[in-house]
Amino acid sequence: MTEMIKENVIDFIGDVTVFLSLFLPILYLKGFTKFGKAFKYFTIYLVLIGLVQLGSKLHKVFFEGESTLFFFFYFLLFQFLSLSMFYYHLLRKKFIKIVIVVGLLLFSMQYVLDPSLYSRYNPIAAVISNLIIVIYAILYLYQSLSHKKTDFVFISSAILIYLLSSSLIFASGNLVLNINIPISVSDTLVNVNRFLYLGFQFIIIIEWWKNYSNFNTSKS
Amino acid sequence: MVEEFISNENQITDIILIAIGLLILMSFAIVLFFYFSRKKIIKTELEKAALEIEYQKELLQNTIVTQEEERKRIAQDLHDAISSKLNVVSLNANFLTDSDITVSEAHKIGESIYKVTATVLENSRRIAHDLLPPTLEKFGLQAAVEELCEEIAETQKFQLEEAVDYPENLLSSANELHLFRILQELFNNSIKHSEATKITVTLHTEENHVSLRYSDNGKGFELSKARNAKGLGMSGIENRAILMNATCEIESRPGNGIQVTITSRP
Repeated sequence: MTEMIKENVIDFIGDVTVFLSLFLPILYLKGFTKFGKAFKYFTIYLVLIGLVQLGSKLHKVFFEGESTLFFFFYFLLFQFLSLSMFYYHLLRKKFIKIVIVVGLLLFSMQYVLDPSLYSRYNPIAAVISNLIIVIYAILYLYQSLSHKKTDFVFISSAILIYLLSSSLIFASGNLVLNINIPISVSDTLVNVNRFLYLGFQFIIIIEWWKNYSNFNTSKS
Repeated sequence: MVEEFISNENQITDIILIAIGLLILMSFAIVLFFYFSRKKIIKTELEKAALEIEYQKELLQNTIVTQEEERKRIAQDLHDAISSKLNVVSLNANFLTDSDITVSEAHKIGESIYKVTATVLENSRRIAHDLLPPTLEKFGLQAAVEELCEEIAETQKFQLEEAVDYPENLLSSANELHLFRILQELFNNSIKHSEATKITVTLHTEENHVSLRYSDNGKGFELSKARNAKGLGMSGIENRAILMNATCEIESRPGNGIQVTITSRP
């Protein structure tokens, strides 16, 4: 009985994150032209992630039982590109563009050398791309220390916490997908990731509400 | 075998979960660290801004006080040196309109009017000169300082040593005026308060630096007290030095005269 309630709660959280993945882009698209380039790239990030989430959900419905791991590839790629550009416009550092090019080259080399990676899980790319974004977030938090404005400080804090912790979950991906380890372990990790992702999405809402909702911006 | 397997599996889950927990904790710590540092930095910046505003207010206050004093001085000068003398002229002129005065009397009155108007003219010229010395505008700082020193030397109150070396147009005309006013103020202080017998003035130029050194052997004063006395010369000198982006060192102790060094930064 309690097992079923637990499962229901976890399923519910999963549904909420998918719903929020579709809801957040709409929230941010409303201010797309108003708040500058960094805001635009963050909105693009939310749209792309929303599309990936929707695609993987639909894929699960229409092709039941088939692997959805290749969506993870797009998730990583889109996240790396859009968040890199997001921080490029916040930090105004040229090296970010160089890192994007070098990163893409390395990852594509990895996929050229081993095309089967596309349908498998790629923990190295996941961890490296996540950590690069985490470093940008820390740089931005440092830069915003002396600024009175709190633009993207919430999002950067959330990115720092979520991407750092989820890096470990991604890193342990292949280990727990091992045949010898029962599915319950990877399920636990997926559930932890869901919880973290939900928190991440909530902070994105808070950022919008604090800095970009009409209610607050019209006041200031 | 099965038990061992389960415990292994549990261990892996536990380790991963603990590691995730630690990472979350760590990243929270980083975020909190940034949050509190930010708060602290903004607080100190606000305090700095408040201090700056306070300082600006004080500067403004001092400027206004000095302005009022200057007005008072000008009014006094105009009254003493011009109005009262013109009164005499007006009175004498009135006598002239009387029909029953002799020629010799008229002559005498005319002479008196001539004398008094000459003094009035001289006085008005002096007042204008004190307000803005034409030498400074026409011949530059070097000539103006030399002239000022000459005037001070003429009073015969002090033994004055001067060494002036300033190439033309090194400072902007606004800064030249500041420097000149500072020197004027220093002389004023020495004359009014110091009871000094010897004054040394050096205007020295080295590369792009202009430095003005001034010292007297008067009775000196407690520096902190002079700073607090609003509208006194000292804060005026310091403010002018700040305005011309120069450093200002003032040294004085009771019984030990005063040494002032103003050095302009290029």
